[in-house]
Amino acid sequence: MLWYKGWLETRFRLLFALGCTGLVLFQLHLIPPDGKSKIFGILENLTPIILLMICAMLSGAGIVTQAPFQAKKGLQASTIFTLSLPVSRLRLLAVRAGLGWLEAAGAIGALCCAMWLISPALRMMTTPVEMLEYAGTLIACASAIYFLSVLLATFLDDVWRIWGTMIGVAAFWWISSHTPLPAFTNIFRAMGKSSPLIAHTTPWNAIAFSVALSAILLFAALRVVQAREY
Amino acid sequence: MTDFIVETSQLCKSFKSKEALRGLDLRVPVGSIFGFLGRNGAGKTTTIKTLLGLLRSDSGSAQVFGIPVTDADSTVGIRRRIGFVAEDKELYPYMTVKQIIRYTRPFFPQWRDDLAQRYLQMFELPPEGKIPNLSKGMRSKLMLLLAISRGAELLILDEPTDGLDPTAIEEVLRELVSIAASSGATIFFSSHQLAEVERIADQVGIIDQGRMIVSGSLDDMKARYQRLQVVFADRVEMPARWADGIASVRQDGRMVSILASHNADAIVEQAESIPGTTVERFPVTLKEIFLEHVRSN
Amino acid sequence: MYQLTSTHGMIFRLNQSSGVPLYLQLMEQVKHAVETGALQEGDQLPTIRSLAEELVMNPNTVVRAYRELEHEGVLELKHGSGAFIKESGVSRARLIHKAQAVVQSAVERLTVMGLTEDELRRVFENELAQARSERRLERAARGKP
Repeated sequence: MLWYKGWLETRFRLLFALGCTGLVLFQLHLIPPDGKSKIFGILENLTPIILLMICAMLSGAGIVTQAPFQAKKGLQASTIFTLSLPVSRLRLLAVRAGLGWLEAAGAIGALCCAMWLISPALRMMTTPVEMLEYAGTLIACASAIYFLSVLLATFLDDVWRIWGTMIGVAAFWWISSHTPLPAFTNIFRAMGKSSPLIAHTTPWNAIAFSVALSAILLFAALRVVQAREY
Repeated sequence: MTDFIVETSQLCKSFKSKEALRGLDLRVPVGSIFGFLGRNGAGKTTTIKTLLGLLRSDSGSAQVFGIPVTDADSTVGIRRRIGFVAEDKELYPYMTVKQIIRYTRPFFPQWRDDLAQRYLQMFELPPEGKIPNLSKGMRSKLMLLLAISRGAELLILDEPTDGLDPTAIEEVLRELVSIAASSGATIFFSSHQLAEVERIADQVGIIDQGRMIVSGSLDDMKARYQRLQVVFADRVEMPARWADGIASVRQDGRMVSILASHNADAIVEQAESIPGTTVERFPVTLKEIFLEHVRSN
Repeated sequence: MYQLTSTHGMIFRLNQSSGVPLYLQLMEQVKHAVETGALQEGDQLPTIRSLAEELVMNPNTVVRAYRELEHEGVLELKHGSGAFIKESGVSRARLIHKAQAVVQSAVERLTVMGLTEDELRRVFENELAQARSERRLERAARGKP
């Protein structure tokens, strides 16, 4: 039932997120079949930003912050009803985070499908298999961003959380590009330059790193909630 | 199984801005209808949230169903057996009446569908109605439906009749009495409507500034408390020391009005022994008892 | 504040603010119903639940009233079937009925003498209060060696 409720809560956000992907699609659409470099530009720059937005939006888990106790109307105020149900906050967070992740993954997958369908140039450059690998890479790497947002959601309100995520990601990006860390930690490269579409290889290291990072962040989020649990 | 379905001992809880509970001792007998009274900000809602496991107290202990409210597992188990109506009657704005019933049902193994259907009809709730479109009174009724249909052993209701018109209030009180009589559920409710409490409660507790000031059987309280009107023939001559049990004394000309919290007989005797007085006894309402206690605190 | 109900042809009227505990009021009214013959021997009283619901009062209060009435012999609680008026309750009622006749003739005579209703009431209450304090003095006197 929690999944159902979460779905009812986030379905419009998902729609909005899908709408954002339209930005990428629109750009792609404009590129002529032979505009290889332009596509690269989009894939390297625009796509990660869109992914960031998707993750930030969908990871909202209002249940677990302290704010609900002060809110008087609307969704936030109803959290006391949710909390009064016989479910632990841990489970509430887990379901919410899980659902959001599925939605984000779905959105990314849908984006990739749409990209493939819309851009003849893209179809020229790459194979369906590579598209699948690309989608997989995106999902894996974006997961790290997503779970960062989930962790932040455990102690920040909606607006702060989104800002926090963006700042966190920006910081991560800066560190990745400007410090001599191993190549596989740069998930942005993995989503852009090193991605299956452009480099024609699957950046397994980066994917593994990203998944590990996601797990750590998720675990941290769960621990925070558990500590705050009665 | 203890005799008390809820028991707290010296419960303390402070927030950044204030001390909400300062050593609260609360005892709710099983099967009673307990009226929890107090001014706004006295600590009622904090107490309720603590019992539900939504807040962790700073010190002291609390038990519900004999289970200490100490960790996530126990509080989840406790909440499974409680029907709750919050002070702010807010529910999910994106659900309809039917949806929220369907949503709440699986959480409670003792859910009573017959009750849900019955109240749906009795309260005239539109199944397809979206929750934000319901009036405050309807939302109160919906929350009551959700609380009662859980088949809970304990109902914790924070201002259950808030926003309801008199006929609806009557309906709700009748249903609460019916539930208490048929299922033996304990009803713990807070209300500002003292008249309501006086009608259906058999136990009462008054909380002020985070402490329980007086609590016990309502019948006993009303038997112990009396208002005595002493009219003096000419001059008011008060005894040097009154007998024990006087809560307050007010003088108006030759008439002295005494509120006795106990030992009324002895006080009456003392007053009657003063020459030239006539003494009359009057019953005391819950409202008077309440006002007297929170005023003097 | 009054609550009215009509159950099995009886009307119960309870007053929240009279100071008399509700269970006592209920008991009085059941006894009154027996006195006037509205309730006969063997008649069944409403169940605790239905009475509590109709009057919107605490079920434990009804329980207490019924138990006290059983204690006084007015009714008996048959496990599982309900509360039934007993013969002994009826005979007490007959006694009360006789008392009613005594009071009736006294009231008639005093009214003929010219007393108003209020004066009549005061005379009765004074007499009751007098009797009460005499009993108390008696008890106190006996208490002292």
